[in-house]
Amino acid sequence: MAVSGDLTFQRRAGRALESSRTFVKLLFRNRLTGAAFVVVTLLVVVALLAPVLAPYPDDGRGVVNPSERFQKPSSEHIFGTDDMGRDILSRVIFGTRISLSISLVTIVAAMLIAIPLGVIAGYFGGFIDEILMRITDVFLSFPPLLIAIVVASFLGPSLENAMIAIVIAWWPWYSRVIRAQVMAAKERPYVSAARCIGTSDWKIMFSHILPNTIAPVIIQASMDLGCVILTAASLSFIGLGAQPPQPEWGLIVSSARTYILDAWWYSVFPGLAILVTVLSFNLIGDGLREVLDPRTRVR
Amino acid sequence: MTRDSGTTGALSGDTLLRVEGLKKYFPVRGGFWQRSVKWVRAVDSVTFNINRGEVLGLVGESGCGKTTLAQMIVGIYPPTSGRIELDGIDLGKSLQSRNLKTKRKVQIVFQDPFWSLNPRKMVRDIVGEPLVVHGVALGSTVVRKVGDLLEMVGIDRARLFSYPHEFSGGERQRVAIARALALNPSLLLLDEPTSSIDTLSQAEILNLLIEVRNRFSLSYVLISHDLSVVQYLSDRIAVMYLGKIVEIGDTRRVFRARLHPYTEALMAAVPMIHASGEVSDVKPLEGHVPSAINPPPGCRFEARCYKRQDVCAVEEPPLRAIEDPEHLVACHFTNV
Repeated sequence: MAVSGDLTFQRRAGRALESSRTFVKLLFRNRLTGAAFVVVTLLVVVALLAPVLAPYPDDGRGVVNPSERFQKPSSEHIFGTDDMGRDILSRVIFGTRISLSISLVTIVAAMLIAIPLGVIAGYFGGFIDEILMRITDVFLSFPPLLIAIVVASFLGPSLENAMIAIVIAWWPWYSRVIRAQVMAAKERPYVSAARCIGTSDWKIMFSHILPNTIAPVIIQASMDLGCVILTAASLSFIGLGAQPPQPEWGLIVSSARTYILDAWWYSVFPGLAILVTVLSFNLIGDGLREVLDPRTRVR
Repeated sequence: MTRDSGTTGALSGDTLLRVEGLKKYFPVRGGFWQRSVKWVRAVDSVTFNINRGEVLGLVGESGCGKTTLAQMIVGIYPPTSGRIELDGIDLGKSLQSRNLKTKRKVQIVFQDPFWSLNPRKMVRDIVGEPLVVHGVALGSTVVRKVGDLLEMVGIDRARLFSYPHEFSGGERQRVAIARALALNPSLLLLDEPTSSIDTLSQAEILNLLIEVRNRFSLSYVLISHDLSVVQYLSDRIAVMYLGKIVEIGDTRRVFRARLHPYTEALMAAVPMIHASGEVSDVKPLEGHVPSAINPPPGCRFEARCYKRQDVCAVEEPPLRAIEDPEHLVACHFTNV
């Protein structure tokens, strides 16, 4: 028994490895997705190693050098310097930390709120569903950026409040997606079979239905990682998010606005960072959808 | 195996399940405020008994209410009215009103083996779930018991850790049967258990069902539109048309006597291969099933019946015995 147990374990482990390999292979078959995957991996490395990679780590943290204001891009300052004489490359590198953690934390928080509510609404239906869905309707009737602006200005300008605002603006979308999936999945015979067995509603919801309905939400979330970065940058740009001297990309672009004609490099490089990051996350989201949803897979 | 009428009667013997006046009306919503304006009478006043160890075949064309009836018995749909009794105990309206002990006595095997097993779970967890939920087994005993169950239905216990997509249709149906048997039920509802499986696996599943039934003296409600399957497996047969039982009785008697014109039509629609190699003509029934939303006031089969007379459109024939007290039929003109 023990030997055969080990064998089955090996076989299972081998199978899991094989399936994850095919998963990666499928992901990389689309060249753009592969490239985006590489870019995001690089961004994560950059964020983790920011103090090592940044040529002037102190500038990244906000130390001012008045003597080196508005230096053009050169071998010394590849992205040039800003109005305080700080190295923009270092600031952008440190900004990677902020942007990536904002997107990850807010998306995870939004999912943690949205998934239980969506599953409950979709599974039980009726009165609970009606109430939860009317609440989401209120949120969905405004653009998420507008809600985020209202909430952020209500809470006061800071990076944390901007993140709370984004979570509040974002969760109803996931709730809707998951609810629709659950409503379809709860009619399947394996759910009926579990009910006949006597499995509790909670176990049915979270062990039978959720694993079969989560894929579209994951796809949506991976696409939204980019959107959230953009929203956070927008909030910082209008002064409701990160506060100086935090090296948040949106905030850098915002302070560069005044000097856009004299120092193009000040706004262009942080702007490019936003562009590349958002684009990469969107491409990964597209790629994930192709892999997870075989119907959209190109043969 | 005993298939003598003596042990299969509806009135005699040890009654396991009693279904009395069972109705299921589905609302059709429409108009202002989404009021339910019409009702689909999916199952309309169905009454029958099943004895311990008996197989009741339920036949009829698609949409006649067979599946709804089964799902009410197992508790998936609450009935609109009527009583379901198991071992003399009222099962109550819905699954919520049943306790675990009652639930384990009635289990179901679904028609579609592809969606009846959770694609994200291993067979060990699928078949082991009832054991865990009912506290029958824990930890390593689950694995052992699931292995025993799989072997009983003819699946190698080495495949405990496989996922449903690694099995063929017939094998999946075996897994579904193993799950249903895990709790030692006394009644198993088989909702077209072989209709989405190839013929050879179908024969194997049927033999498995017979074997299992003899071993545990289980009762089955076998739903099928395949008359040969029903004839092979069931002791008694009930013919349904538009939510009502039109004929019920011992399988061999019903197949021989065919008292109701609908039963007659159903059997005439099956091609028979004779020993001579000749294939009999099939006689499809003409006309369409009337809508279950507004069923005709008299006999529901009236519009398609060759025996119809004026009384059929007005008066609904009751289910009554003609010669044999256990062979009931709902027709005004059984001996014409």
